[in-house]
Amino acid sequence: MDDHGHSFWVILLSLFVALALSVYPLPLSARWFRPDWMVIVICFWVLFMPHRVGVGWAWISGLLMDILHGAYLGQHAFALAVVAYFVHVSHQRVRMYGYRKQAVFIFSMVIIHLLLGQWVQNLMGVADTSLLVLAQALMSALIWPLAHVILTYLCYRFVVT
Amino acid sequence: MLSLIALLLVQAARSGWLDRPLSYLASVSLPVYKLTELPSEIGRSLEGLFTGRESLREENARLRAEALVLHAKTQKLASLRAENLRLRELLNSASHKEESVVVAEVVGLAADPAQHVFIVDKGSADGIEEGQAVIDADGLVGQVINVAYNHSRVMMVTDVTHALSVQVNRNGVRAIVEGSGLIDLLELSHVAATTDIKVGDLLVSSGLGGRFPAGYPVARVSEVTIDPGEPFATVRARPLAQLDKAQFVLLVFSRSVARGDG
Repeated sequence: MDDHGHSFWVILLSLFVALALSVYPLPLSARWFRPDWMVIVICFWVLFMPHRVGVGWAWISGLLMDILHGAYLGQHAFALAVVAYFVHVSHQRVRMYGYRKQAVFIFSMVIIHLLLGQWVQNLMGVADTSLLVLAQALMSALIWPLAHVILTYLCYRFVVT
Repeated sequence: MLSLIALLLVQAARSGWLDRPLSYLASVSLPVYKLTELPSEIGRSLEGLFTGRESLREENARLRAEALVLHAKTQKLASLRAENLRLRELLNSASHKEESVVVAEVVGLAADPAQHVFIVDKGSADGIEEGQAVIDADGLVGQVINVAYNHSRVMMVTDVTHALSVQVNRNGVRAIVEGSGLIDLLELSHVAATTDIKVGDLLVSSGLGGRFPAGYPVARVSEVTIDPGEPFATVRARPLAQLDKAQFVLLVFSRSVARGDG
């Protein structure tokens, strides 16, 4: 930690920004098209800094997300941990992909995150499974190149290793 | 492993013993919500900065006129209240509710688009309790579903999981109003095709169920379709409260008042 003082804070800050964006107030209809910022940022860090960010980080930030969203405690923690595990398992392959294939990968990760979240909600008796999660997943995939560029820039600028 | 812990946490949260520590832990989320409010806040203050003297004067005059009208309307309230109380005593009605309100600012919206829930900046520190009714200037907004130390969550009447008992103001017919998941639409369930209900009828909360105080306007009937093949009429209504643009809402405290001391 001592030799890479910046890295920790940059990662923390990016996760915080993602957290804030995930509750940024939007009109009701626009909320169906909000990209899943948490999954995007977690995916980026696990893909490119797997030695720094892993399932544990995803779990903790998921827990924060639960508290912030007022969701069932553990809902996002569980879903994000599973997502981070999938990303970690395949990070060597996905890192080699171009934007288009990576976007498809992000698309499926967001789907996994949202469906697991809905599954937990259904367990708790809140029954609303909606195909509109596809809209969110699509937006996340479309925004991925931009997020990738910004986060890569941050990595170079602040020498995150 | 971590997933397992998370699922255990879900179970623990379900059993309810985490509620108290969580309500304090959740206090940290208010600053985040405030932060996300910041851009629109700045926009508003800039707007205020560039508002001309003339338009301010106009607005002032308009507000003055409005206040005058409202004052005039409340003049007879005291005598009406006394009369109401006397009549209630004649009817041997046990008690009535006295209501007071506290103003709260809407600081955030639920992230989950399927939920019609918003966050207000008053919590258990201000005496807010779960189940309190929430209103705005035009009608019933919803109810408090979750209270943290410094903020709470309010479910709007249009949420798909929300339902409340209402009365048609014109004739006292009771019905259940259910949320539809759309911000400007409510549905009345199980209304018999022969029920006397018309487009334009005002629906007020009936007070049945004990959650909402009686008499707050909820919605206006916008559509009545009677299909002879169906056992029930399809009745739709439009909520009166400004659900999607409310900046401030009122949280209603109601307590039972023994007869005679109102």
